[in-house]
Amino acid sequence: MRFLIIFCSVVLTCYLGVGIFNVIVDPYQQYEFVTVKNFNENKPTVSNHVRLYKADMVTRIKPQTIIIGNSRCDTGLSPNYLGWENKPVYNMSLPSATIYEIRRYVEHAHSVRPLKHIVLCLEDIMFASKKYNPGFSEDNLNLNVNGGKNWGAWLHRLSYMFSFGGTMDSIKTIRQQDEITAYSELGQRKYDWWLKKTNSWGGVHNLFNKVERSKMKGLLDAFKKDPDFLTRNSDQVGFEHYRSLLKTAYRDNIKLTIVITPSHARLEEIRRTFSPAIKSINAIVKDIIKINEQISSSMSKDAFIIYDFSGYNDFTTEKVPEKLSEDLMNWYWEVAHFKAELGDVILDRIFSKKTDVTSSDFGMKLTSENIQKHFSNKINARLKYQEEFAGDILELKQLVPAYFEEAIKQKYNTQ
Amino acid sequence: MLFNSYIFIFLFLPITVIVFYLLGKYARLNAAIIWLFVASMFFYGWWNPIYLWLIVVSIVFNYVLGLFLYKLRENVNKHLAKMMLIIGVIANLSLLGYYKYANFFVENTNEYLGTDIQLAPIILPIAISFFTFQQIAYLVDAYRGETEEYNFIHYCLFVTFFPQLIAGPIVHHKEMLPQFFASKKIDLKVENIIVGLAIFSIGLFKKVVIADNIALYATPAFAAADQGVALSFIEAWGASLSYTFQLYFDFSGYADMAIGAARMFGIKLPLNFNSPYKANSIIDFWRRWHMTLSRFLRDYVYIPLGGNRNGKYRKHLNMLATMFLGGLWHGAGWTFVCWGILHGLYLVINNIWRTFVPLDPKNIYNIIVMRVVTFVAIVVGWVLFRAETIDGAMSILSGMAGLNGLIIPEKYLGPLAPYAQNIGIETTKLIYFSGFGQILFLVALFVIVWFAPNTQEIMSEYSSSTSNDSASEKKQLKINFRPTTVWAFIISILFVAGLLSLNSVSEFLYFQF
Repeated sequence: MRFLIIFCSVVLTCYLGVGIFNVIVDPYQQYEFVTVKNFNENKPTVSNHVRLYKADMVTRIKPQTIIIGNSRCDTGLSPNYLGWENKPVYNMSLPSATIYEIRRYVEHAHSVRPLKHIVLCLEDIMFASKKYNPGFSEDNLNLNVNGGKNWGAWLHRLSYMFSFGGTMDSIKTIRQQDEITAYSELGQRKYDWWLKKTNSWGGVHNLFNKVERSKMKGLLDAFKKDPDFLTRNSDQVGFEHYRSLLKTAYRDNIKLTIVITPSHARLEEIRRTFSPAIKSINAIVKDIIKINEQISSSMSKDAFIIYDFSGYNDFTTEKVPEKLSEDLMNWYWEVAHFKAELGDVILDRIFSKKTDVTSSDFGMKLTSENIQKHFSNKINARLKYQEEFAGDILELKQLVPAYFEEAIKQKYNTQ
Repeated sequence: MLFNSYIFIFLFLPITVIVFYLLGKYARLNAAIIWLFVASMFFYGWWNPIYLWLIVVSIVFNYVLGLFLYKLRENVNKHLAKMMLIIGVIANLSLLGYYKYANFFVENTNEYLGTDIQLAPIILPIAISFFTFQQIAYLVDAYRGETEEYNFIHYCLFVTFFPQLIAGPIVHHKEMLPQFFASKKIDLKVENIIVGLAIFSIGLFKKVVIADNIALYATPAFAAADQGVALSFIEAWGASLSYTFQLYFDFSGYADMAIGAARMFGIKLPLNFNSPYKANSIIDFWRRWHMTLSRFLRDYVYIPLGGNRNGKYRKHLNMLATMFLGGLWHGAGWTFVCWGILHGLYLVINNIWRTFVPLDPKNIYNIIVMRVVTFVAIVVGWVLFRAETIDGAMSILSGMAGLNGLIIPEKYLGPLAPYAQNIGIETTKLIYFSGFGQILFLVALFVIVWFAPNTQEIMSEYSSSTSNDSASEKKQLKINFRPTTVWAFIISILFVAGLLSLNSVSEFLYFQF
């Protein structure tokens, strides 16, 4: 019996001790029982557990409106924008989100409190073959994949407090109090976080280059893993989750606004290095429109509006500061992430507010009728951009490895 | 339900144990046995209740048929009994064949014969490979007159007893059923709880702390190889060794948890692992790895095929056929088939080699060479076992053979980097090898699997399984468990470490087989 008494005592003491310590430090901002300056006020490890953090936070904010997409929306679209109609608004965007993750997080938020408005930010890469990212766990969400209640979700989210990973992050939280929490209370990535990142990379131009290189590598890796990753059509993976999401919104009378987000024109140029694959990028946009129109028609509802903010316009072609310049840009942090200032212009457009900064086709409402013309306009705009920013084009060319271009050529020439 | 889940550790297991002993004390023995059966069905149904009918039908069918064969044992008409046995075996294999191999068969038929047969994807019911084999053995023994007239509820529990249901050990009716009616009363023995807890804790630690963490090195590399990435020499060896340890600690960790959980009810399961990487030959390896599967294949496939009774050529052919089936049992895929055939060939070569060069157990150098050669052969086999595609496996094997080049990052070479480049060594980054962290982890695991005693040996004073064939290695560290204060601390720390690693739940590798 002595053995059992010691065993139980040690297990209870150690296990509960670890749990209580982690709940007090609260590295993922789940409980907020104790907040002490220079001890646990800042939560630097939240950045590595965004999927857990936002799944948990949404159960406390109980939003009626959510913004959901990838890190572009998580940075650019503000829940504090004054024009929101149904508050509270929560930015539930996830870095590198896939369409499956988006669908599951919408279902999760909708189960917490019926949603009235969703701003859904889409990008073609979300429809690629990867179903979800590391850090995604079905167990953290209130509904299971079959739509049933996941009763143990809160317990699972608590379980991180009883883990080695949670403990290491608690220690990191205490030791790295000079680092700020990446997110605001309402889920938007903070201005200060970006400013610190920009400075640490030696200015905007360097940060542009860093992200451009990593995007190039990402595309190359994705291409290596699955050369068809951009040539999928609506019958393939990803679109079933988009369909499911649309059906939920139409069925439950949720206003859904679909936004194709604006990367900087330099990123468009990198992506269009895949010149033969451009057709498939456009095909994905066409599918997004087609599926929306099909479902709205089958459910006898007005189709949700799809806005395209991508392409070549006054905002996306904003000049990048020189290498050693300390200047910030008006609209962009770096090539993939636009600033909240541009986010407000986007929201103005969605809520039809007048804005003093306009660009003729920024936020074009896409339908199956106008899409082809819209693509043609983009081609013209691109040519104009390439003429006007020849120096940028030359700089980007140097980022593209020769073997990459060769691989693309081989892939598409052999087909 | 997974053994390494909160629901199992904090709710299912304690409640099942407590109610079992309460019923054993205050109700009849059968009530406790029925409770254990009901709990086992709940455990199985937790995964997918739809498939409960499958296991129930399988149990009823095999029990009735077994009873029939038992009654026929003294009947002069052996022909009828044989027919009944054949029907029984075919029915069991058909069930397994449909759920496990139908998709594989259709895919290959379509590919190689150009047909267009459409079959909706079939979900493989968990544990089907295990309970099918257990019951085929039961039918064969009933036909041979080696069974008794077992009580139905005892038989149900023999098949479904939750510790062994999902991934073995593949138990035999002769070692399980007598335990259910060995005594008329169920007494709570503290020793059973202590020994069970200790074995379970060691198993949990092996699974969630060791196997799941070494998997972080193996998984991305194998995934990359399957997608066509050519792994360099160090990356390929890093991946294959990591997987070699992952599989052992995962599966033997599971077996320990099964043996530990069963022991809490006073029931002993057969040993499934006996330090397999200490094997000095492939023959020895198969006596130590997944021992209950080897036993089944020997008794119900190899020997009925003729075993070694019809000359050496036929013996070798029987070995190949048995290992081919053993490979296929693990999964419907060509990589498993190749793995099985490879081990069949290993066994044939090992047998031929033994006739010419007998192993000298006293010669330490001989032992070291044989152990290393055996280990490398096993690692090569695991590459086929783990890879999703034959191309992926070949890519890793090419890397291990040095055909994809050698990369040693410049930071490790320092001033030698230019010389290395001159002799064709690349000095760029190793993408699928994590450097000194991985090396240290692998070295530590080498030390454990080659020099440390296994769970059975640590628990040797408490007869932790039904097997007696885990003769302790002579020249190795001796560690014996005793219910002392120090051991209570050690076991509780292992258990806590396991608990703290639970929230990244992963399935046991052998669930898929």
